[in-house]
Amino acid sequence: MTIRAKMKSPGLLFMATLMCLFLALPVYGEEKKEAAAVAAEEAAPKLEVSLELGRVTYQHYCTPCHGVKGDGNGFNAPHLLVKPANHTDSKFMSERNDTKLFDTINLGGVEVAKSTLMPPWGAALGDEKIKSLILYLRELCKCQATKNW
Amino acid sequence: MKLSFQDTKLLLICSGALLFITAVMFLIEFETDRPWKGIQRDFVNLDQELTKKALAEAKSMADGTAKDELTAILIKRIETLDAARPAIKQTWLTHFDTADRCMTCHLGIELPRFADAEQPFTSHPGDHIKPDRHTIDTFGCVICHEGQPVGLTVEEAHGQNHHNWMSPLLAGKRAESSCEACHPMRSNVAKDAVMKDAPSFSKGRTLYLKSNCLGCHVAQGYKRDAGIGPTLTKIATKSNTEWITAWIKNPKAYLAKTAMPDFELEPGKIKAISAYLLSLAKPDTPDSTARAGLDDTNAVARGKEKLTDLGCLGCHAVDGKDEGFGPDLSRVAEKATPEWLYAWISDPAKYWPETNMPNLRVPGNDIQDLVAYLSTLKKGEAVVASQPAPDSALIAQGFDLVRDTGCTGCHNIATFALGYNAPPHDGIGQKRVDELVFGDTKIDQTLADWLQLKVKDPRAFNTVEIPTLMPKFGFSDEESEDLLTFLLSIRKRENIPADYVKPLAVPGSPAVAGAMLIEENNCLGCHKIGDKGGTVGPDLSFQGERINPEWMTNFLMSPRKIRPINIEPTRMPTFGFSEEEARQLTAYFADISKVSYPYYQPKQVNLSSEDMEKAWKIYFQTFSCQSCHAWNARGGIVGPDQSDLAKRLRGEWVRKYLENPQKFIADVQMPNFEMYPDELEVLTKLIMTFNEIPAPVWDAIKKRWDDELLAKQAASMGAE
Ligand code: HEC
Repeated sequence: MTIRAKMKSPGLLFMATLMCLFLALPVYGEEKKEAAAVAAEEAAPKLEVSLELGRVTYQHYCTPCHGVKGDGNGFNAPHLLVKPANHTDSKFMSERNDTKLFDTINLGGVEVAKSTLMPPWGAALGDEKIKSLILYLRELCKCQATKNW
Repeated sequence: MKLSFQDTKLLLICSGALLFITAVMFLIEFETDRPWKGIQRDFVNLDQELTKKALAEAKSMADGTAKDELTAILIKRIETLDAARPAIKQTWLTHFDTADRCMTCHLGIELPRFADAEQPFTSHPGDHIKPDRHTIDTFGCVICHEGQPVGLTVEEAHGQNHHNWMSPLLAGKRAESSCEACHPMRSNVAKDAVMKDAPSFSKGRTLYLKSNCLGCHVAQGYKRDAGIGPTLTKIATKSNTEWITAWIKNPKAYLAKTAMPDFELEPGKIKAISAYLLSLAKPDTPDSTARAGLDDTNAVARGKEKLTDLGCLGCHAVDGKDEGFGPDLSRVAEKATPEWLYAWISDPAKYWPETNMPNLRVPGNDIQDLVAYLSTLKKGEAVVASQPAPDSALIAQGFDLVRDTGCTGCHNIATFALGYNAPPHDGIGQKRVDELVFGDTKIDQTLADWLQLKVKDPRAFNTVEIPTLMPKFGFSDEESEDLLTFLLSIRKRENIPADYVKPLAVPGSPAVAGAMLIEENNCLGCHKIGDKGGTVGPDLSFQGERINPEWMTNFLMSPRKIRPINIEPTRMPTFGFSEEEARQLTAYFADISKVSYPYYQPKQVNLSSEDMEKAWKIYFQTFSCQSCHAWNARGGIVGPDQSDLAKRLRGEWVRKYLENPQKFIADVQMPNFEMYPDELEVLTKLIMTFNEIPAPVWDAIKKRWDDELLAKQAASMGAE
């Protein structure tokens, strides 16, 4: 629940952290389980943030709506009430800094007061893939953020 | 004292008699001091040694009851050993009406402390001897190891190199050939089924069945395949003299892993066979549809891509290694004409009804691209494919050769019946040595040696008077050993009592029938089950708990695409499963998912109007499911249409899936929305009613939420 919890209210996240701390207090069996979970997580190969990972991820997850070229004309775009953003539009994209893009992709359009038709990807993709996606978006728009929101 | 002559005579006679008696006694003693007595003495000495060592170790233990108990046991054992007198040991096998005396020498067989001892004292490896498996009391040694159970010398008991001994000892992995008598594994379980504790037997069996030995030999309980090689009746529409002759001469040069053996035929005979086969049908005339993409580089490139996209590589390789289920395609242009390729891809069963290649339902223009690409696949310079002018004498010779050589063991050819009559394999595992012909070979004259060489080099025993035709399969040493283990299992064993028979898998059960279908159709070429299989199609490990069985059965019988081409270019091909087969597979998937089969869709609990409102909001607004999913073609086309979802999926699964889609399909394009339990609850219930909603009702509801969405959008645009 962590990512969505953050979206609903920052208070919730604080509460959750407190809860976690509380749960982490020595409850023997729990602690062991926790350690195993951490070990398992560490065993999974950590992804390197890279333009290539961004490209692959984009082609797999984003192109149905945003199009193979990133121009917002994916095969699914005609079926959406709101037109997907054109990621090759450097004016549009330069108005969004990386933090903003991260929030959009992580938590969905609704997080940045945009349409719910832009889904939240955080729980499915994870930070590294989202950061890679941003590298790729910057490549698509050939732009950097001009405005710092 | 002076002895008289009489006395001396008496004394001499007496001492002579004494000497004689002693000698006789000595002889008797010597004669009865059979080797087993010495062996028993050695055993006692060895056990004394082991026990004393254990005792010394026990004495150095910390004081306590454990130490006391152990020392007492060990001391007692030493005393028992001291008092041990040689005696024949035997167990009477009531069910088999024989005594088993092997343990007279194999004294350590059940004692773990003899694990590292040398034979004959080594304890039995593995955990085969166990109260719930096999016990010495009920099986003795002879039931699995054969030999002569009453014999008391190595020669008599083992009889391994004894010419006319009926049942020589089966030692080591050869003993695996006995398992099958009580744990039957004939043609009613999959070819690659594995008996866990009989790896050599299992490998041998798989090899035997997949090499289609049954095409020429028969054995009770084993079924002849409908044809492992393609039909040759219409080969004139497919191939040419050059390819056919090169193929017969050395099949493995073209396909490294082909099951087709080497018949070691002279060139003249090969030419005759080829002439006969090509005379059976007329070659196709060049056809513009089939050839449309030829020499068009774009079509070739598209074809190459489609070979991957359509999933062809699930069964075929194009790298020359020939490791797939279907033949390697890297030289297919040498073999097949564009016309044949086009017709074959359109409908493989039309050319060869028994083929395992399914129908991929590929549209014509895609087939043209595929043919264009496949027609570029050849090695070196293109050979001039020719069809010979008919030569009736040659054709007649070819007819005789095809009839006599064994081609019909694997191929359907014209009006020949499928199958070839080589000597039956019934009882081959207990053939007497005097029934075997050893020819000029110098090998040990035992059945095992004979079989192993026969498998490796079938014509090794040929003499001028007795030539055999069996072709060469090119089995490795290891493969011939496994085949030997398997062949030894084909023996008549009428003395097995019914209650000894314990099938490890129930023939005809969902598990067995499903596994057979999965093997036969190479489902694992594209799909994963557990940690085995390909990644072309979806993972099948959890489809039992995912899919409604009724839907699955129908889908298997007539598959169709449920996801758009853009998301999934591959399609499930049509295998032409009968309803019975489709049901067996469905039951198999339920079985591996441990869910009930058949399955009754639970009646949906009605949602309160309040919950209904909440659910619609979640569907259209919070997560906007309609952006990727359609309902009766209204909505997004990234995921499957949801109007019949309730018929396709199991409700419990929908809920689990929504909670974390990536848990089931790691790279699925559906986001994880991190739904709260109450959201999951009402949303699942709502979705499972989608098939009952009338279209006008849906449209009205959708319009309401669309309007709201547009209004929101307008407001946010204004804000920006
Ligand atoms: C189901 C269709 C869909 C998919 C899939 C999708 N998006 Fe979007 N996306 C949209 C829509 C619709 C908008 C426009 C939202 C608006 O203008 O209110 C959008 C907007 C955006 C924006 C601009 C937001 C803004 O600040 O205006 C970014 C960035 C974006 N998407 C990135 C992505 C990335 C990266 C992916 C792949 C991980 C992705 N999208 C996948 C539909 C989609």
